[in-house]
Amino acid sequence: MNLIAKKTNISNSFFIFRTLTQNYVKETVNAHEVEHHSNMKEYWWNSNGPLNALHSFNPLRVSFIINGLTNMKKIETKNIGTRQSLENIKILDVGCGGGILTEALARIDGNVTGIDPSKELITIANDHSVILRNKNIIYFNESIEEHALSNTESYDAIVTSEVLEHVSNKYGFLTKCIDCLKPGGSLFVTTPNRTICSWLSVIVLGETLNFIPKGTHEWEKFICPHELQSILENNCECDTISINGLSYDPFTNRWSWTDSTDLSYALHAVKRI
Amino acid sequence: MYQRMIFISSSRTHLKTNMMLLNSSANRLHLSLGNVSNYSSRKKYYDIVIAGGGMVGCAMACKLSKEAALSGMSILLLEGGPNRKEYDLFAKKNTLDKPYSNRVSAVSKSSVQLLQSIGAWQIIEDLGRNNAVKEMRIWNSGAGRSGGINNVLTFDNDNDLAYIVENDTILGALFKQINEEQNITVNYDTRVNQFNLPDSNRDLATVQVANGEISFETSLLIGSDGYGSKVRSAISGQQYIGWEYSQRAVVATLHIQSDEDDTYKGHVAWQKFAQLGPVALLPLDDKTCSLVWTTSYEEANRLAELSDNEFIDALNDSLSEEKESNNTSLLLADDAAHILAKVLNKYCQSNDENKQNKKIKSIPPIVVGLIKDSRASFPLGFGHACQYVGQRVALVGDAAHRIHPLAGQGVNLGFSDVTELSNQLNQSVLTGADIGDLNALLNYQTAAQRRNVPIMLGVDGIQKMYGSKNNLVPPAITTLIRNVGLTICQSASIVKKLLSDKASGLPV
Repeated sequence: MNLIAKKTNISNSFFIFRTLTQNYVKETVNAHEVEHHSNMKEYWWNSNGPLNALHSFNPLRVSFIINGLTNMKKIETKNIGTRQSLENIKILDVGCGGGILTEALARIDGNVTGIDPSKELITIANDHSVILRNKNIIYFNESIEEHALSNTESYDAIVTSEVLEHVSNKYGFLTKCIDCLKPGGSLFVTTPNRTICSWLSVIVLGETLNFIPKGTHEWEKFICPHELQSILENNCECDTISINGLSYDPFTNRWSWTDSTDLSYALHAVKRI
Repeated sequence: MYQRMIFISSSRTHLKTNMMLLNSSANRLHLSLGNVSNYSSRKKYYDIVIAGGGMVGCAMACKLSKEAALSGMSILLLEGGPNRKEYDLFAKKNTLDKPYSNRVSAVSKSSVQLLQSIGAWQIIEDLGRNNAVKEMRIWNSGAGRSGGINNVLTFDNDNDLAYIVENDTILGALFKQINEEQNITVNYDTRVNQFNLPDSNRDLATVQVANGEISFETSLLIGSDGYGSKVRSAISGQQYIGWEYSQRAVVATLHIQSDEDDTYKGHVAWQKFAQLGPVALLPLDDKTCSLVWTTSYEEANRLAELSDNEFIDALNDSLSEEKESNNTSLLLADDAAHILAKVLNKYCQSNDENKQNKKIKSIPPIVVGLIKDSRASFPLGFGHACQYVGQRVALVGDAAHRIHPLAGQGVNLGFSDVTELSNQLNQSVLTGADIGDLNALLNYQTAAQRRNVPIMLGVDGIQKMYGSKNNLVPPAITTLIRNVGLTICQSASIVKKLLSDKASGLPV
């Protein structure tokens, strides 16, 4: 009992310390994070390259988004199970990077906007999107604060995949995201958990064995599902629909759903009407 | 610091409403950067280009156009040959006694499922040119004394083991289906000059055709252009493992006389492992068989020189038992196998003895005639591509793997590839992946190789053990091993079931 109480105390004080320090950061964008990710522009679209984990993640996260929107009855019945499943659905991809997920969503006829603070990556994304013909995709080089100014309550869904772990001011970031969401719209987040397991696999194994480019992640900035849930439910007027655990096998380069959220997770929340 | 960057046009709202304009202006942006290679109007775009209109390529085209998730995708089928009259199936229907073609396939159950799903099997069934194999009898050449009688391996099943169908009937049925599909274009007499595969997934694959200045652009190039595949060699980093068996397969269409009392008359496939290689007789109807006679190059050349009657005699000699040998060691080996077979039969055989003996009487069948000009021969080899896929490219059928025909698995492996690839493409377009996405194609490669490689190694193993003359090991020992192998397979029902399940191609 004592031990558990002590452990909770430590983690609580750690959490308070983190919230205190992070609340001083107003910007949701860190300059050094943007610089680091901009340096990946050479191999962003190389599906055999260092970012192959992001490429192979697509089938799972796209089906997570499709299933979430189907459950919320946003997808027209005639489009369920076809390659037009996101027809007429307005989606914002926050932190789209080179557009790996953005393009997949546009390909199944989503009306997709991608934003990213890195100018280089938006150039890459624009350049690559030429491969899509007659699809609704548009990119802007701006942060979520800037985007929220002119796009209040205008999206059916907001996706921020593998982005939250790079954001210092999570509270500010999430509230701005929700501002852009129509009431009843869905927010989809995928991000690694902050556990010993994720530290060992992402930082120690992933970055030392070069499955992930070195220096991509700062474990301290990772967010636990309950923390994310509490921000969304207490501050953003959202209801959490589901939290699903994810696991990744670097040797076969495959992602799969699991019961445990220890490594990484996907969260679906809906803005209250 | 984070100023809005507008890359494509100054008017954002305008763009959001007019996406056609977005693409064309994006093109313009692109061209201005100096990348002129893509999207120029001289090249015609198809979503999928299939190189090679053989049985596997045609099945691929049909299967893809029938996939619901892929509906509306444009498919181009490039065929080297002309639009042949032989594929006209009405000719076959009208004259029932039209001679059988000498090239036939043993179509397994999983392949039948594929052909059913694309509507081709019904056409073949209507023509009545599919003959079910209900029993397979496999035996080995011995020294003559034991008569080989106890070393027969039989597969029989309440259901049919496989169907023997002529290749041109399958092709005819597939082309009939293809012609009914609106989104498939077939280019006959097409010689491909070059396949250009992109390095990055931003670019498309291009196909340069020899006649004329036409070239095609595609999101996915599927290579089904046979064992000398050009598409295969276009894949960068490709490694191909292959060798020739220094054997040729002699094919012909035969008239046979078989036992009138045979329960499975007209539905029995025979295979004899003769000294120089396996001889297989595949039933086409009660009196007609298709021959696949694997033999050495020299023997194949000799057989080609023979007249029809001499050929029939040579074949009957090869099928029937050899004269009793004077070689003591061979006789000993035969006796050993004979004793082992007796012991195993006594303790393991579940079938009743009478039934067993009755069947054995009808071995071997007697060849009485040969259809004129039906003789031909072709070389045999083994081959396997280490990579079935690359950026915007996938291989199916013989382009990816080539095997010995002794187990009749060649075309069935190709048809399984078709099923596997179309399932994978179906899945990947539903999750918004590019149809030529390497990650999705790699899943196909994993699934296909996991199934193909064990079968290929198995068939190659059988070929090495039974199908060729080995100069290193004394013939007595090979005879003994071969006979014991057959006896064990016949007696141990687990091994037998495993073999026949693998051959059916269905998940066990």
